[in-house]
Amino acid sequence: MIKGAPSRWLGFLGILVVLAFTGLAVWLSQIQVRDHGQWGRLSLGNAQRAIARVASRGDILDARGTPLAITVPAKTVCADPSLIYTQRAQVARLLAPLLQMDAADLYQRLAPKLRTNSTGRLATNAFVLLKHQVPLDQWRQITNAMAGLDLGPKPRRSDSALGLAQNALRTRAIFGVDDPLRRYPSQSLAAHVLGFVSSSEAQTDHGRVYEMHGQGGIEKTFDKVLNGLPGWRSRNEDIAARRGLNVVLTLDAGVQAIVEEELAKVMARFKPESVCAIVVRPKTGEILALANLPTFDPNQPGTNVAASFDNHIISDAYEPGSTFKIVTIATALNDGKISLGETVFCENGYWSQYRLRDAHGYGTLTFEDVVAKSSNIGTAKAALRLGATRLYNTVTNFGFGLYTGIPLPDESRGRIAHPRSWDGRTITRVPMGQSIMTTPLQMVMAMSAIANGGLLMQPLIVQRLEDDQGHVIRRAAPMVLHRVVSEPAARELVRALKSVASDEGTGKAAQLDYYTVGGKTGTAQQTVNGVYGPSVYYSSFIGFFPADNPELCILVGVDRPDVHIAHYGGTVAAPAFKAIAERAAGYLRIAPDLQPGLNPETAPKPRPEPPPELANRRAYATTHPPSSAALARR
Amino acid sequence: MFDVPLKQRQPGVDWPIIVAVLGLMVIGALFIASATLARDEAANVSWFRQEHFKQVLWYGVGVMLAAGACVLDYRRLARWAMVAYWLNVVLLVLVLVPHVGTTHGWGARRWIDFGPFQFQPSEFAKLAFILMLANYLSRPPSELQQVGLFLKSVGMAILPFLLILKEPDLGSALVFLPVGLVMMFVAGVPARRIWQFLGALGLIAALLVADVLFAPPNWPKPKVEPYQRRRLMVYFGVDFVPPQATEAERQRALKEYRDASHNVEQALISVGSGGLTGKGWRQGTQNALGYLPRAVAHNDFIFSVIAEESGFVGSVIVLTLYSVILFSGIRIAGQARDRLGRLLAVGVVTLLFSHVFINIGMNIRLMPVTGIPLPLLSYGGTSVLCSLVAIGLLQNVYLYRRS
Repeated sequence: MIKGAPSRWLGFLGILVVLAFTGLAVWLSQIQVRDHGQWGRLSLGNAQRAIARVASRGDILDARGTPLAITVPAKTVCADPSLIYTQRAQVARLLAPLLQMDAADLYQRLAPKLRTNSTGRLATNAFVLLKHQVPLDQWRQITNAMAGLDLGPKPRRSDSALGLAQNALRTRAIFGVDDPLRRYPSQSLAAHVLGFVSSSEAQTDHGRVYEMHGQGGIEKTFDKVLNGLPGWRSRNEDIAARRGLNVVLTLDAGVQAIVEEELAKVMARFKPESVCAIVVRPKTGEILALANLPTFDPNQPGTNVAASFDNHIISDAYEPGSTFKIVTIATALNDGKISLGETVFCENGYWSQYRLRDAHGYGTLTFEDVVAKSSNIGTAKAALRLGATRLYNTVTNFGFGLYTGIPLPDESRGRIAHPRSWDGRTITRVPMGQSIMTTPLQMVMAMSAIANGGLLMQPLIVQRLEDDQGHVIRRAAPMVLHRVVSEPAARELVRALKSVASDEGTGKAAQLDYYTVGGKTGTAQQTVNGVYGPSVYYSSFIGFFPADNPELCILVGVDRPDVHIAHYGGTVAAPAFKAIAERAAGYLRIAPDLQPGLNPETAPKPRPEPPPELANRRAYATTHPPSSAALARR
Repeated sequence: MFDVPLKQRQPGVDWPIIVAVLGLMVIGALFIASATLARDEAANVSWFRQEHFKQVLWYGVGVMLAAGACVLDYRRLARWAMVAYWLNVVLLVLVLVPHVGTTHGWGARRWIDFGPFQFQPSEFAKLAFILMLANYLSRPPSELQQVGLFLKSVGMAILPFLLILKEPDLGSALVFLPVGLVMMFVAGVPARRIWQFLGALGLIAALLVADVLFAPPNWPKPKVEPYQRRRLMVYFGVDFVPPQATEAERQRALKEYRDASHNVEQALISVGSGGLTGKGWRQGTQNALGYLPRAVAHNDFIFSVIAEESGFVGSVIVLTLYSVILFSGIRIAGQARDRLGRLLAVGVVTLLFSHVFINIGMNIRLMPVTGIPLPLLSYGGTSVLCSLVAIGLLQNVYLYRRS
């Protein structure tokens, strides 16, 4: 009775077990042996998944090694709500002042969000972002505060469940992700050269990192160089990120500060739309200062109005006005069409054939006086001797209508029409800076070429790239582009330009006590909707000193000064040139070429001292000593 | 059969079972260590609080309980079946009461807290049920034909089934069905009746699964937890995207699907990447790097750890050890002195078999994911104790076998 049917069932049970286990074994052999390759690859992919390590962005330094843009380590502060749980209110109150956030808002964010995971267990979210780019000292305060969190009486055993939970809350509940912060220690100084950055999450080969990208200026053009290469950390590799290179500018923060201060005075006095200035070493083409006002603070680019981002010096093309006369006169001198002592009839102020007018009526002038008094008619007569084709060629030869290739974004190349499309009067308009659009940078480089004996230089803003040890990776040497006029012709013109900055010239406000100055004023009427506006001017002065051995060439451009105050380049821009030149000469210790006392009207004055702010910047520079290469260069 | 003298103990224990059990305990301790030492916080925990050490302690306690289960003749034990069964029913009710039952922080209310350790009554309920049903069915064969007896037997299974379903723990609840049915078959309950019952059950189950998976949202639905529904959908490969979903809804649903299938996927990667001989003990990357979720690697998914680190060879060794136990159990059932012993042995074999098959099956995507532990290998005191007591019962039946 026990035999029979029941043991049949036992047999069935045995067969069932055999079948089931055979099934499992066959299935396992399929997965583990036949398809092993496929699953192995997936597992390898999992195992080699790496964590990206963000590279520190390189610094931007001035020629003396003063840091203008630096990267400071910072953290994105995140929280793991699953570890905070009941201590939510306490943590929120603790962190709110440290993060400068609202405690109630923080309390909301720390709320655990429950969801059921795939195993059917309720799980809490383990990640919530609290704040971006928290500076490291603040982050240290946060970790210290969390480590000292008061959680009531200590549990008896530190490895009990409560002890472990408390330890996790203190050490792991709030964590930081590298998210470096870009700082500009001198605030808005040289903002248009530097640009600014925006930080965004970027996908690398090894995961996501917070990366900065330049949004203007050097930060934009040298973005890749500055950013370096991210590294990664995985199970069997730890590749350090390669720090970005430092970009060393030709800019001198001291000169830049002087320029920006003086431009601020022009803004206050003449109420223009904008004002810009650029300081160049004529012999090398190095740019020592480049400034526009209004400007912005690259530390907080979001808070500025859009207009202040415009870099007028390279992006805006103006009809330059009389400063452009140097091109025609220099070429005419070069070709022997005129000489400085030669006289020319200036039609008593109005030349009806070309409907050309001078600001003051002159009879017969030497060509030297044509330059000094800025006679449109005299210059036009010189241009007529050159002819349209020669004029066009020399204008192009000076670099007008072409990009200078300065490594800053949004450069304009200006505009010069081909003689084919000139009407009968154009040949008399171009020489006086009408019917042609030029950028201030092109103008200052042209003037520098005259000062430099006729050699046009490549403008330099970046002098070298170096790694964080100060090893030079690439160096930009001064580069002669080509000769624009012969050296004697340039010398001749310099003599005429000296008379501009004399008591008889239009630029007499530009005279310096210790240096001879060569320069040219410009007062251009600007077009409004294609018509020359009655009270819309672009007033400028370009000068260099010491005139026969030029160290600096300075352009000051004032866009739309308030005509009720003044609008002549000689009145608006020349005094600013003088102020910048005097202070910069003192700061750079340029040897004077005038003996004090020889000019009885101007009594000798003490040398100007560097501005007080500069002392601060120098103090900054000493706490962040310039690299050895920078020192060696000095 | 009643002439056979009682308490006649045969010499010797069943050694194959003991060897297989020892083998499984060694494997269990080793791979629980591998699964738990990979955690970051493992370094902060003293050695005697590590999971593998605690598991070894449970093995010790379990072996003592198993020895205890051998001391008394199983027929004496069976007299207490009624008490054990109802006591377990009370515990299953208690576990549902808030403050008595604990969720372990994980949704389902399956544990009773006893200070230092927690106790999962559903595990012991399975043993008590086997004892109860074996005792009930070991009556004269003529009575087995009665419909009332059949219904009562089914009722005995349904009561704990429903209580455990309420926790909710569908996997553990479902184990009662094969155990009860196989015991009834072996006892000699008319097969036709059982088949009819099974057919009806299968039909209802198929309808329910179809309803859960495919029914339009406005249809009446059986009350299933969202996670249960997701697991079923993952198992049947139905994605979560409702028809007429907007793109945003679609993306969210697909993300939910990926989250839900992540566990299963990673377990499969672990098993498959083990290959023929495995990556070596504590060398499994899936386990060590936490792709196999840490919360389940040492308990429900311990087989994935074993398969990854010891490969196909290790998996087959584990299967072989289990089949040694199961076939010895079937042999013992055949050698049993009476129907009570036979039914006890069959119940234990079916219980162990169901656990092994379902657990390994869910590790390799043959079965939907359920919280069924792998006997002796999964970490967990209650499961270890129950498995060892069950082995003890087998030995008990063997000790009092026919001469």
